[in-house]
Amino acid sequence: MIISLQLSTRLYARLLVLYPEELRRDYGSEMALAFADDLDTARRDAGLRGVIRVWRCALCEFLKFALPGRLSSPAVRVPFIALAFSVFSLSVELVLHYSTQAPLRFAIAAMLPTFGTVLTPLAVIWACRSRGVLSLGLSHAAVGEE
Amino acid sequence: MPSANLPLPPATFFILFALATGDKHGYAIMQDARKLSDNRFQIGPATLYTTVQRLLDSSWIEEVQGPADGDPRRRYYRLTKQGNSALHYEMDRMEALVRKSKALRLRPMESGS
Repeated sequence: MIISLQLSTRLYARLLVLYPEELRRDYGSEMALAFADDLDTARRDAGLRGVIRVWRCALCEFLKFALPGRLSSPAVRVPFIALAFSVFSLSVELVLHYSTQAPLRFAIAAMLPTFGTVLTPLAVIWACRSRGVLSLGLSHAAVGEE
Repeated sequence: MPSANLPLPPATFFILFALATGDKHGYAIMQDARKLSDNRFQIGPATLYTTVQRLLDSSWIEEVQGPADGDPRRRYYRLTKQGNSALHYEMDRMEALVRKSKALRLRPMESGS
């Protein structure tokens, strides 16, 4: 569990790259620290359920603060929409294919459109960006309203 | 404190509420906010620090020196006079609403009705 906590913390620190620059520059290290502390407390208090709660909150914040800023640039928006559409189409096909088979396979396949549509394009864009394939001249003006 | 700022967004309210009991760093604010809301409201790091920045900008809170034995990686925050009056305006507003609802004998609707 300790290893998974370290992985979680590292993953969160990586995700911070996608947050608005101003927020990341001023508070990035403290955000990572607060996340790690929160995760640790949640694990001690509620085990896996607590860890899931902290991650759910972090992902909701990611969608609220990081994604809108990223998608404001056409350099990200266009590939994101294209990839999202492709993954969604493929996923629907898989769901239809497995709909006649075992319930477990169907359940797994049914989750793909939900998670894959958002996460796959993000992962691809993230990977491209870290390799310098995509240069993101993004504006980080909107730190975000509540 | 202009009443135009009311009602306060939940994150703003709970951050001010948490700081009303003393200077705190970010994570302590997150924990206090959860406790004060009986685990009903959770502030994540991004919401916390975005709101903290806005509160600093409007001088409702200020950054202060942490305790000598504190973690040097953490920044501490304190409620200012303006922040304190904003919090009390909000609490008065809530109290007035509760009083009105009691006067009207409002009760939650039974489920299924």
